[in-house]
Amino acid sequence: MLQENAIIEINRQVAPGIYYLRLESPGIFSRSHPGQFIHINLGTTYDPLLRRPMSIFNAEEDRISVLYQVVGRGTEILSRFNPGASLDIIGPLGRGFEIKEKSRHFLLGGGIGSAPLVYLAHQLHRENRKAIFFLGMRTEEFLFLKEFLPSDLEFYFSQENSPAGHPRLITDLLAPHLESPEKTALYCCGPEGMYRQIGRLCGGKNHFSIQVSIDRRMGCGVGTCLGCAVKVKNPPREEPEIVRACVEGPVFPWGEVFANEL
Amino acid sequence: MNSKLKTKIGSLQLNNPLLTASGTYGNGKEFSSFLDLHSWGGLVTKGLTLDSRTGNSGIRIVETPAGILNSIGLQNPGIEYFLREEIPFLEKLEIPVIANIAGRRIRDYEELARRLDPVPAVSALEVNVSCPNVREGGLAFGTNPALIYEITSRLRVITDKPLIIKLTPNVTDVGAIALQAEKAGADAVSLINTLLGMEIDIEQKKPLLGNVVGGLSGPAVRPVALRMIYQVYRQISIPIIGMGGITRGEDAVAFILAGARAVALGTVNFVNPRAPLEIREYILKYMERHNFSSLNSMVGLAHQEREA
Ligand SMILES: Cc1cc2nc3c(=O)[nH]c(=O)nc-3n(C[C@H](O)[C@H](O)[C@H](O)COP(=O)(O)OP(=O)(O)OC[C@H]3O[C@@H](n4cnc5c(N)ncnc54)[C@H](O)[C@@H]3O)c2cc1C
Ligand SMILES: Cc1cc2nc3c(=O)[nH]c(=O)nc-3n(C[C@H](O)[C@H](O)[C@H](O)COP(=O)(O)O)c2cc1C
Repeated sequence: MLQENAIIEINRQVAPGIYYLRLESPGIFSRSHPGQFIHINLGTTYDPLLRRPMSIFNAEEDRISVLYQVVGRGTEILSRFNPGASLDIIGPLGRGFEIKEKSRHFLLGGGIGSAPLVYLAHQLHRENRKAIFFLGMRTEEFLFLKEFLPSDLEFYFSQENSPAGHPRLITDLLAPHLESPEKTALYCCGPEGMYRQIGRLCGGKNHFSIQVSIDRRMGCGVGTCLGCAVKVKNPPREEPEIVRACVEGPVFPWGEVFANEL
Repeated sequence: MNSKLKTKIGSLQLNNPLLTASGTYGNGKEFSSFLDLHSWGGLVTKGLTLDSRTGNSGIRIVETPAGILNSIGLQNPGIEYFLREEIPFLEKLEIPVIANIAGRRIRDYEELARRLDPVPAVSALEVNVSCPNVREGGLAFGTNPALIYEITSRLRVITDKPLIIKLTPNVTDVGAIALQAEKAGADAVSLINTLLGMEIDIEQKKPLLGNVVGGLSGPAVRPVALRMIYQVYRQISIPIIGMGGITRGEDAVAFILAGARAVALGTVNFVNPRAPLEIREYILKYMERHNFSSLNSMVGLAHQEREA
């Protein structure tokens, strides 16, 4: 983990309200792993005050990138930075995805949550592992993601506004692939409702190993403010434990967070 | 290191006036990759309770204009764990470590003081009588002058370590409370803890924080903190540790001029981990510019008679 003044190379809108930001950040680049995030200082003023956490969208050749959606003041301010300017960032933070020794790797992204999975897809590709990308979205707003993925990656998408008979939810895409008894690792990032549905489909079957990235409002991002608490259960311990999304997470085994829902 | 910045809180010697604010710095480890922890004058630990606490549920931190509201609820692993797992790291530090303690009953504070008194790595105790995030306690002590007297005098009997009483701003007359701490034998007071506040999610039509209310900190509270330090300085003669919204060197200087002999940095660490380095540099430059040879000669200068 380090603090770096990263030069902005690209900060451009790639779809309505969605921006691709690429930074020259050799220190963070060389230490980062899919599923980790950076904490971005928005500038010199203290309003808005806090840094903004953003997953690492990709990392190559001394560069890291971020894909962000403008949802409020902070992300709006971020969208106005020009190439050449520098951003004070801290990273890489948190514990990312653990690449499992399984014969198949499923990447399941819900909307903007797909961001860290793009980095993971490239990593799996570099390691010659068999992967499939499943993208769930409301309309077609995230279809552009395909351009950022390895070109030969198997890719499926669902749209909530699809006509009857077409996949509407990510679980509609996933279900047909679950019939095989092959050992499969699932890496998920999206809303918690999506994790519950995925859990209902696969939970409890031991040939699936599921990891989920948990989103919490964050303060410091380095583990001291205890703002981003996540309740986890780690058998054989009886009592649930409170851990930090920014240090022990953001990626957790599905069961640790949702086990009591099985 | 520059000896011009040395300051004293009771018998506690600090190489510079900058302390970490309790609960914002863990026990230091997390920040050691950004700076040398010895850049601080001293390190104040996360609030400790007798038993472990899991803290509040629901949303615990919300950004507000130039500030944050938190309702962590004193999550900590308890004194036992602290002594076993954290002290080995802290005792290697060559700067004073101040243990911040909190409890529900006076007995809890007494027990905590008894456990910490013999620990060489702990140089002083900061007594949090003012946490707004714990339903049962804290604040109730902090707002009642008689209880402040009681708790301070009971702890005074237990330990000779410097005793710092941390005051809440959620009262009408903070000076009256500080006075009781002084009378009962406290070595110093620290202020301010967070200001009670809340935020409402207008779409859900309900309070945003899981705990409904939380403590406000950050630049938004700075003028309130400064006023309280100024006020308390006129009423007591023991040292004041000032905090609340300090982000820049200018802020720290203002707190010292208002009467603080040391200052603590809290929320700013979340944004700028290098803040203590920048602030220390600024204070030195300021002292040079205004011909101050010691930090002590700056303390309380804003109280000089105003010229007509
Ligand atoms: C580990 C982590 C990784 C993330 N990665 C990405 C990413 O790759 N791309 C991306 O676009 N976003 C990501 N986010 C979310 C992103 O940090 C927030 O959208 C951003 O901080 C909002 O800032 P703002 O000032 O624009 O919005 P604000 O004005 O702060 O808030 C706008 C709205 O978003 C809500 N909100 C704010 N923060 C969060 C949060 N952490 N979780 C849920 N709701 C929130 C607010 O309540 C409000 O309704 C990530 C969050 C975390 C914790
Ligand atoms: C997340 C958080 C946790 C805190 N925890 C404690 C605590 O455990 N004990 C305590 O005495 N004060 C605690 N405080 C209060 C700070 O020590 C400090 O008094 C206050 O935040 C004002 O300073 P600041 O504006 O520089 O943050 C906490 C503050 C924050 C923001």
